[in-house]
Amino acid sequence: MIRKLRNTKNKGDSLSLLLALLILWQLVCSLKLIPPFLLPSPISVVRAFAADFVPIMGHAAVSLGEAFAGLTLGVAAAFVLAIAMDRSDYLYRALYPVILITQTVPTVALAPLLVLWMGYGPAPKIVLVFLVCFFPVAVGLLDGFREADPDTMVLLRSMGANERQIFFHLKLPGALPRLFSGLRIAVSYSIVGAVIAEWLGGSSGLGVYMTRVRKSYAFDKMFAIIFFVSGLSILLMRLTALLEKKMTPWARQGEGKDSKP
Amino acid sequence: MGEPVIQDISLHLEQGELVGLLGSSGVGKTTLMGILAGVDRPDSGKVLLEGEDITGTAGRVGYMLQKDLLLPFKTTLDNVSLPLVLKGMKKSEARKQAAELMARFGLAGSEDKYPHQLSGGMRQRAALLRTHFLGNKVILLDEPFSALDALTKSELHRWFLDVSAQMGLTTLFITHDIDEALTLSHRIYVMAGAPGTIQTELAISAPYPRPADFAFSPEFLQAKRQLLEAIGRQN
Repeated sequence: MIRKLRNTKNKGDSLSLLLALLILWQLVCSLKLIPPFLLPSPISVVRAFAADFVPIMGHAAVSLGEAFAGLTLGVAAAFVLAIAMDRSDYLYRALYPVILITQTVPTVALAPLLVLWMGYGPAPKIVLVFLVCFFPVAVGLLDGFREADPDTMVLLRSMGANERQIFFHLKLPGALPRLFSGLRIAVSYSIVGAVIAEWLGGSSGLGVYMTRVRKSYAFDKMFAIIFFVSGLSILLMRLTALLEKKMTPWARQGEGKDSKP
Repeated sequence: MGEPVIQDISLHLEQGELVGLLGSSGVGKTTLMGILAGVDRPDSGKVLLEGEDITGTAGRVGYMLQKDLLLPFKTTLDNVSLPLVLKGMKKSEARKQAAELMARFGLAGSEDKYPHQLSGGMRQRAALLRTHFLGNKVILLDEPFSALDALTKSELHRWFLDVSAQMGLTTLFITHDIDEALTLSHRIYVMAGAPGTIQTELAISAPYPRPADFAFSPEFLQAKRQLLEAIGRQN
């Protein structure tokens, strides 16, 4: 309860800080301390967003589609691999270090290569999103599976449970919190990944729109789209958190007890 | 294979009996339980249930470990009915059967609560009810009451004697606590040595329900001395 109050208070604090920064920004622009072509005022950014609302939504639909496709594929692949690695110690030992090493490759830097190989269509975008989403979900799942309590496993075996039953009654539900912390990261990566891949070419999408307005020096539109993308990310993370609450009801009911100091 | 943990062990349970298994840590009590429960296989020897060989077959007798091991993400009712579901019963039917016994196990009203919302005693009772649903009247308990405070413990003892008489359970339970063994058991086995063997078998003839001052009776004290000696003895 105490933690909850503090949380709301924190939220209020950060909101008022954001508001103060926004006012400061508007003031700097209104007093013409920085020329408007370098830094557009918040009001002009909002105007730019409103003026281009319809095309922006069209581009957003394309980017969201790519992000969603990549995310779905990434999560599906993560499930397959995590289950396989959990079942086979050999696969686990062989693959886990490799997966960790691949994460040192800056995935975003692969984008130009992907475009080179796959052209300007949606394919390279989806593949990039897939690559950035796969890792956090796979590692979350795998760690979650591995954390299953060995005593509880013995107990379920003593009840005559087979591997499949142990998976569905113990491992999978136990891994959900970790899956969701991975998923929250993956979801925000997915939209950013799609936008970055679109920078490198294509005919529609928020990234394509961004490069176009940049080339025409329409910085107000540029800012509008940056805020829009970050807003989308926040929205998607919120939705993920909501889904987590729905799917892990035991954690929610625990709040009261766990937050005792 | 390494050194054997337990060797030359022969024990039996009569129907409706409550039998204690005493011994110091590391003597192989839990290993023995694992074999009886069918989770582990012995290198040699057999486990018989009403004459049938059930060596290495899990799911034939109820087995409850030290911790209650309720699944944190299932409600009490779902936890308790899990053995039935694992045996292939439909979830709704399993819940119905479990719900009927919740009250007798002192769990009425906590059907939809999660384990962390229950008290230690309630969790233990829920774990016992789940053990019962393994479908057999034989249950093996590995230090079932050791994690509870003294008051909850004696309350649970009384309750357990009650329930096991009503339901005709046959129980083998591990304990470190000599007083607990003496309070509950018809018979007590003492394990000692390395590899562990059965050192002593002791019958407690006092009838149930045992009087509140049973712990001060000469029979109790004499048996306690005998047990203490047996626990300390090496092969």
